[in-house]
Amino acid sequence: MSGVKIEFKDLSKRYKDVLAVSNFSAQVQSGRVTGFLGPNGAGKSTALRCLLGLVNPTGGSAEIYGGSYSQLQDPIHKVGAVLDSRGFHPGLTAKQNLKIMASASEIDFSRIDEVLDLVDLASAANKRTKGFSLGMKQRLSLAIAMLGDPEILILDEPANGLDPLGIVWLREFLQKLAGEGRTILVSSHQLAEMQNTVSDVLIINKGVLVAQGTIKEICKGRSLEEAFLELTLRKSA
Amino acid sequence: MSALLKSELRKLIYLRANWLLLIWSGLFAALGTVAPILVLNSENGPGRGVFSGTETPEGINAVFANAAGGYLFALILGILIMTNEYRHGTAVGTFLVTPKRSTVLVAKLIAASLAGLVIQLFSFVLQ
Repeated sequence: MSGVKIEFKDLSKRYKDVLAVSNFSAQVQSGRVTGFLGPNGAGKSTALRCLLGLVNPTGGSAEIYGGSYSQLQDPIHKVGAVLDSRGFHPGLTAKQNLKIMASASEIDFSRIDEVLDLVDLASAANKRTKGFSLGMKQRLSLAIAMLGDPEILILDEPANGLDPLGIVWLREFLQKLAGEGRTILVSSHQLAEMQNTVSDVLIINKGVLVAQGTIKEICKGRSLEEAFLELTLRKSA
Repeated sequence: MSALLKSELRKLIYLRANWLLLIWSGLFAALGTVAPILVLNSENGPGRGVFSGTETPEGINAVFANAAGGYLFALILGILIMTNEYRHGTAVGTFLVTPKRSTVLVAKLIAASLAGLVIQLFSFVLQ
């Protein structure tokens, strides 16, 4: 099945006086890596949280598999998400955190060792996560997201705070997952890094869609950074 | 639902702090039982004039009132079960697995009730 499995339809979200996302409409093509780019505070995280049913939109909708996230049966078998590196209990080991998530959705525990291997955390499986470095926490978040072997991955700033080694690891990890035909929506403001990783681009600024297309269409021979700066500055001027 | 309950029980069992709470509830209950008896029955204790010893109904009531103190720890555990999810950001993962939040709350309620029962039984046995 190809086509579109993620779609923002006139999505708006207002927090008191702040319009975080404003009539945002965009589509994410299946089987591709889409970079969701924008400055800090552009509304990326809010849009992703609407998509995952964590916040309710003020207007419009964010649809996944043609409906809202909360309508999905067994969502973590379809969608894996990494939202920040705080999604687990520091007093528990990596494995215990994974067991809690696995048992909630009746995933076999043998899958836990698989995902720990996948993110190179097998050696730290029985260590408490409070001693984890930021890179290890990010990888554990990715392991949790991969538990259900989902077709769609949604990653919010996964490269934040990673050292150069971690960034290289993440790039190769994402490319491997993309090679398996998964749909990946990854938000970031690290443009140079994204240039090598993504095939499609969504640019959002001040809650409004600025541009969408393949990376070739957006860049037109420029670097992603140049294109991004021109697009976001022009629209906001 | 049963899977979710298992997951909630795992959250309780894995956390060392919860076992400490259980032990404290027992110690507290034991202390609450022994201390009043010693104080009330001591020869020169402050109780002699004001309180009665454990041979009187008032004295017995005083002992039982103090002995029931273990429930305090069940109270603390109940608060922690909910607030931990927000403190450590695990609520996000919990709600991603189970988008229907009412279901999560019901599972937590059942898990917390079971834990409360365990604490009461344990502190009852120790006293």
